[in-house]
Amino acid sequence: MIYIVTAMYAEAHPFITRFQLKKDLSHTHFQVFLDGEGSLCLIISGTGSLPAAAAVSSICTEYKAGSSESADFLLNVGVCGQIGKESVQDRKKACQTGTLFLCNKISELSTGKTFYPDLLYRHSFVEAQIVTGPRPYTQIPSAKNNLGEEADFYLYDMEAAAVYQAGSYYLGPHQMSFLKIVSDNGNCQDVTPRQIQELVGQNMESISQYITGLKAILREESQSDILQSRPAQAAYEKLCLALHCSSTMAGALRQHLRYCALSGVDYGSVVEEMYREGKLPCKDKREGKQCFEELKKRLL
Amino acid sequence: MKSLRNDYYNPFFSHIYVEKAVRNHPRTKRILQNFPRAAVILIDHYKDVFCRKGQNFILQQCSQNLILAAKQGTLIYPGAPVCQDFGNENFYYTSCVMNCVYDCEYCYLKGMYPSGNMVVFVNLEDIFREVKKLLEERAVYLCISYDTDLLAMEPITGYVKEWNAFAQTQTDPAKTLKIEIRTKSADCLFWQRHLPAAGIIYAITLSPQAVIDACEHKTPSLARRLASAREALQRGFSVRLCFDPMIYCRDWKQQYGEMLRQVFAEINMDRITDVSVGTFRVSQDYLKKMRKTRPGSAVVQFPYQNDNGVYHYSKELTEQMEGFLVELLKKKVPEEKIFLWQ
Repeated sequence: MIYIVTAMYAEAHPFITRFQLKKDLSHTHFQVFLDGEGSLCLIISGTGSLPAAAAVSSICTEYKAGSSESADFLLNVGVCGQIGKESVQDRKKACQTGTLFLCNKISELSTGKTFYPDLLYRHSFVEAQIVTGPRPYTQIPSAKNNLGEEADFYLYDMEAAAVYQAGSYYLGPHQMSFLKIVSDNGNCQDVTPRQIQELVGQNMESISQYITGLKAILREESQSDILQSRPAQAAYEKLCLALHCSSTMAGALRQHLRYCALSGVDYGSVVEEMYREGKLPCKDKREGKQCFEELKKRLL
Repeated sequence: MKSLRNDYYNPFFSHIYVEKAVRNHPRTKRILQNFPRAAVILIDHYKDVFCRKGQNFILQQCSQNLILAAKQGTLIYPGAPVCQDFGNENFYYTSCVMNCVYDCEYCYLKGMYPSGNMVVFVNLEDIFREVKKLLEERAVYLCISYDTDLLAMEPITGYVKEWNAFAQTQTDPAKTLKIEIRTKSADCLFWQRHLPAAGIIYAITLSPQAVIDACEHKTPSLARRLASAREALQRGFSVRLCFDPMIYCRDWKQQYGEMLRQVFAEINMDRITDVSVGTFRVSQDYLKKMRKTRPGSAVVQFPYQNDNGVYHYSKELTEQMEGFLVELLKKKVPEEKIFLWQ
């Protein structure tokens, strides 16, 4: 499942339209939208760190993010401010309104903590660092002074660091991406919801491509235990019973069967042969132990 | 169906994380010159990236990133009990690079490190200083390529060349420095461009081609490793051949027999320094993690036996495999030059 977190409805709307998401009315605390395939889930958190963390936690708990065999991914999408080193007048000219960035470093202004989402997959976006602050950028002009001098250019938002921190309770750094679209460079009070919707909408094509790519690779990366298939599991359970396995012995048996399946050893034939020879099923634990020793020898 | 994997991953070292404290270090600058298109991200400490929780080692190895940092605290460690000391006293190892460009499924690094990214410590001078301090007291046997393959990284770091130069300055005959550089690399250019230094042993790990194909991803073939070993010997470098770890497969006798036939055909065994033989073994904590991250790997999922926290093949199988190889080796190598890990 890909979880998309946006702060505002205006940021979510282009996704709802594009992916034909339907509102899940069972949620009362946050607005949640799902696609028909169960592969996309969008949640609108509200602005700020606390709502963002609560929303991520809510949705990841609800859908058991990170615990299932299918791979999960958390995508935080939204608008952001731009902080540059230029003078105020130059900044107005240089503001890259509408440009979409993938964040490679997330700093939290209030704590000084920094987070690094993995950047494993190819993408077409420009990368940048983002700073998450507690208030809109206009209200903390000193923010730039607290960031050090390592970069000429930063993005600024109010959620990314919180989304990362809440998300990391469920997912790894390889399972989170932060896409931010510049809406202003310090004059966010002038940006209307309609403009935000348009800014996200303008970038939907490239975001959609990224999501499609993620879906494909997540399918490929889903790893399952080779013994999880129903017939393999049934055969294993039958053999456990036939050998009167204790839990330790059952674990050892499982490891043997898993190795055989992976290395191409036809353990089914070996077991069948032992049934034919009357060595299986065993009458008690003691006989089961002896029989297991013989089975191991035959398998390896 | 064509695998999506290679198409989706960023190229190797597309992102390089650099500790702020070493951003102006000459080695940092030199290494970065190799990657003009990489995104450089400044960090406070390498652990901020390397030790993040919940990382996926295997996926990160598909798109490995580089971290340039300064090594602090302990720089030289005593040799681990599961490692072969080749009869040397004062056995130490150091890690000037953490993690490897190769992807061997059985490698303990996958259980030891939280990340598949590579860390290169640029303050080699501090490690050299520590070694010098140790050498004031005693002779030292130092393994410098355990937690990485230093020779495979040579085009990027140039560290083997630097260790070579350092070893040449240590001339006290009473307190000798012996360095082992373990590698699966087959870079013949290195032998052609450098001169042998006394005390440096290049330990080349060899495996049957079937094992290389199945488990040692991204590594050179057996034929290339042998050609490299031959060239090194011809140019006067000290070469140790490591048949360690030996990996079980159903036809292991045939595979290892065939491998030795190739080795004997290619290498003048009279010129090698020594050989090591050892079947696979790994600490239980590492294997537990490796099994979780690599559920589809046969070598990792083998039902090993656990003795005192170390997983290994059964005593019977260990003796069979090691005994088989040792008996064949004895035909070409004096017994005193054959080292078993136990």
